[in-house]
Amino acid sequence: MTYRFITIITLAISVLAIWSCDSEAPEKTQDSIEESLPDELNISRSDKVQYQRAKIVLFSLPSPMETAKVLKKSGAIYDSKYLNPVENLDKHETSKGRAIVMGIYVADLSYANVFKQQQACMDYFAAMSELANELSLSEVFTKEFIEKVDENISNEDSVLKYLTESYWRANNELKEDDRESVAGLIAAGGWIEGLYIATHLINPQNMDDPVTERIAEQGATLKQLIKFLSSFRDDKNLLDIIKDLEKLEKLFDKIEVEKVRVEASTDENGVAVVGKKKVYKFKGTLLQDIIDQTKDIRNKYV
Amino acid sequence: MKVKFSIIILILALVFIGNQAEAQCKRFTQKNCLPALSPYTNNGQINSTTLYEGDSAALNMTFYSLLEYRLMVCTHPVLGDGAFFRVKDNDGEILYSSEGKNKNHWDFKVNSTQDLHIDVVIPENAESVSDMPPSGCVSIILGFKE
Repeated sequence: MTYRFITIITLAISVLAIWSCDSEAPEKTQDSIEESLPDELNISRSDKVQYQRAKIVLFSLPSPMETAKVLKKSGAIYDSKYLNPVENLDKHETSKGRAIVMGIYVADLSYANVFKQQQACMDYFAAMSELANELSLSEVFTKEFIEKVDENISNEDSVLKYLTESYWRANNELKEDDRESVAGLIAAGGWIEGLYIATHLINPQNMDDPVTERIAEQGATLKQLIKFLSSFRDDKNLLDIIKDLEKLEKLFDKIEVEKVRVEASTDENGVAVVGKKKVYKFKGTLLQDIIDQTKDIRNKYV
Repeated sequence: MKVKFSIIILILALVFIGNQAEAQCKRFTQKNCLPALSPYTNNGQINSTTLYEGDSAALNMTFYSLLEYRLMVCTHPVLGDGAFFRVKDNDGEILYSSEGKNKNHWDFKVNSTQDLHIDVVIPENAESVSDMPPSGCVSIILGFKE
């Protein structure tokens, strides 16, 4: 009985799968693809009311490209000694290590690019390409893509465009291959490196430095990052890094935050400006503790 | 033995279907959504899923105070044109709602860096005569600029 039931279900799904394949078979034009978008799980309205699906919750973090822009706008300077040298690439032999370092290099490349450091950009793109191959991300750094990057390496906007494109392709390929936890490790690596760079560009005694405020703001992103990584419950590769980030979270939680209500307004270009204003205060050695903890975590993974 | 074999085939079939849906959603996002982000730069992240009429999805994300953002919610036409999104702050205060505005994006800045909560709602179509609720790709994409 069980066997017959499973066989029927299997046959039904196989037919559906073949149909789904076949519907795209005649020369995959974009329009035909759109017309056949996912519709494979047929649930009737009455069933749906009975078995209402849980609300889907997604996570998203600021990309290393955004963080680099914000750092520069806050008056940060370029100093290559805070970046992870590409020579460290060969130190990593596991997929976990390579994924985290991939994220670290995305952050380093973003930082080098906003300060127009062409040679560093080329070096980091090459390192990322090697890592992508080792992580079996075949669709990211194709021959044509690398040629386009080489031709436009002197243009900051082009490099940003290609970096964003490669980040998008990598995330996509990982999602399609059910390897989203690897995307989580890449995001974690990028976030840690961005914070590491920021914490080394400030004088911990000068609380008026705008970069200090940028560091305090990372507490919000850190919480998102931990939630995102924790959503891959069964992945043991993530346990260490989650533990490390939770130690850092305890320190960020000690930052005093004052929220000030501000009326929504529009800027000179008519763009809406919303949300509360926040004022941060570090007490005692808290900022230095965050700097030290960040350094320990980052150095563990480079 | 036969049961084990059938279970393996069943799992493979389900994985295959899931991957097909992901790939189709990716192509839809690439063609229909990403170009409309210009002049903003996409942040390189994928927030897409397949929803049914009557479903909703939520996204939490951090926005930097020094950047300007375009938040876009792209839904496949099969889901109709009633889809809307709401943006709330951490205290639950609604900062924006696209309901009734017939607009799939919002350009904004935040006074301070903060987490915002985005709810996407695909309303039920009361006039639909079909017993099968349609499903389609929904992408929440973000662009930024200085």
